[in-house]
Amino acid sequence: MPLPLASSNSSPKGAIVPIGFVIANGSSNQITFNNIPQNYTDLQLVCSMRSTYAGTADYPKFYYNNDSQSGTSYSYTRIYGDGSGASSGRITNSPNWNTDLSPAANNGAYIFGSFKFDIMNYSNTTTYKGMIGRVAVNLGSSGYTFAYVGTRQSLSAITRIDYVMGLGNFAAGSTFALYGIRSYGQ
Amino acid sequence: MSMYPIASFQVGSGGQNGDIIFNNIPQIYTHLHVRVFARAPFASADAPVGLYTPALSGAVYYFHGLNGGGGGSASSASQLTYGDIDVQRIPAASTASNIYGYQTIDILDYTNTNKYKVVRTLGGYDANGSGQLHMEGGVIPTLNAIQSLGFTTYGITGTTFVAYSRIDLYGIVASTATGA
Repeated sequence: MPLPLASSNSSPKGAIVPIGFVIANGSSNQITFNNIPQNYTDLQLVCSMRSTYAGTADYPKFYYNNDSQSGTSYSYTRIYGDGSGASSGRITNSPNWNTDLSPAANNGAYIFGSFKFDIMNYSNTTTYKGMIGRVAVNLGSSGYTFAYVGTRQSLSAITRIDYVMGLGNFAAGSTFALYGIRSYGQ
Repeated sequence: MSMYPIASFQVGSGGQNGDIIFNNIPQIYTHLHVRVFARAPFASADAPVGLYTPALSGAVYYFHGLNGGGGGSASSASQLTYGDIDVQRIPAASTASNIYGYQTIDILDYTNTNKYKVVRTLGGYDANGSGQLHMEGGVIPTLNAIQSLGFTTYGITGTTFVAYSRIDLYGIVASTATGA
């Protein structure tokens, strides 16, 4: 997908502007986007990931602004399906957003999960921050899809995002792309 | 695919009086994308957001959805409604302050005059122990190109959206067709 830079001289300017991109090398369980520019309306985080953990699933999570992992400001409501039924659930008073499920080392080779999150009004300091997410993991004979709507109860602008794998590291080839979404007039 | 900002509506400190309407939508894109960040003033936990095109007065809009309230089974709903497509819930006055609802909406082939227009949505709100998530699919039953879009809560007059609510409209360009 070509992503016209807002800073380019083309007219009209594109709405989706690349901010950062990380490719994991397998040696770390954490990626960080820091010093996020504050001149967009929303952010979009698009990831393809897999864990090095010697199991069939791992549990990645993300949070903002280097928040203490003993905090309680994150919550979401979700729906999910596993091929046989659909359910709804939620987390409350959490220090992060557990984004459910990543393929891991005991799944078939080349299988990665797809993660996409829209982070709404991230630079606004008068409202809490919103998140709309989609996660899709297909393991061949089984698979899952999740949808989320979440709120982080803080008025602070989001300047940093950390994504952490729960048990293993992010497998080599996992990718993390962060975009800014401009509104009209920005 | 490339996305371009078309218009942005930000509700001022006094709240929005009446619907939010985008007129004269350029006809140069393939699809439309809408991003909603909104809250309603009503004395309830939440309220629906309705999407409609003002040129289609009195039309029957159809939609169906997959919904979750945070516990147990997800539910499926099939509905038709007169006057708008419910893209579903945003928080209202009895939900804790500073919590807004969020929606991403796609309207496909909005300039095509040979098909009805498909709308798909994902969004809802979460209030740390309450909230709803909705995935909706709907139809705007017209062969005419969509030149205006309206957003309402309960189709009422008076204040519809509170301060700091915003709706952003984008156009999405597809590449040139390369064959069947």
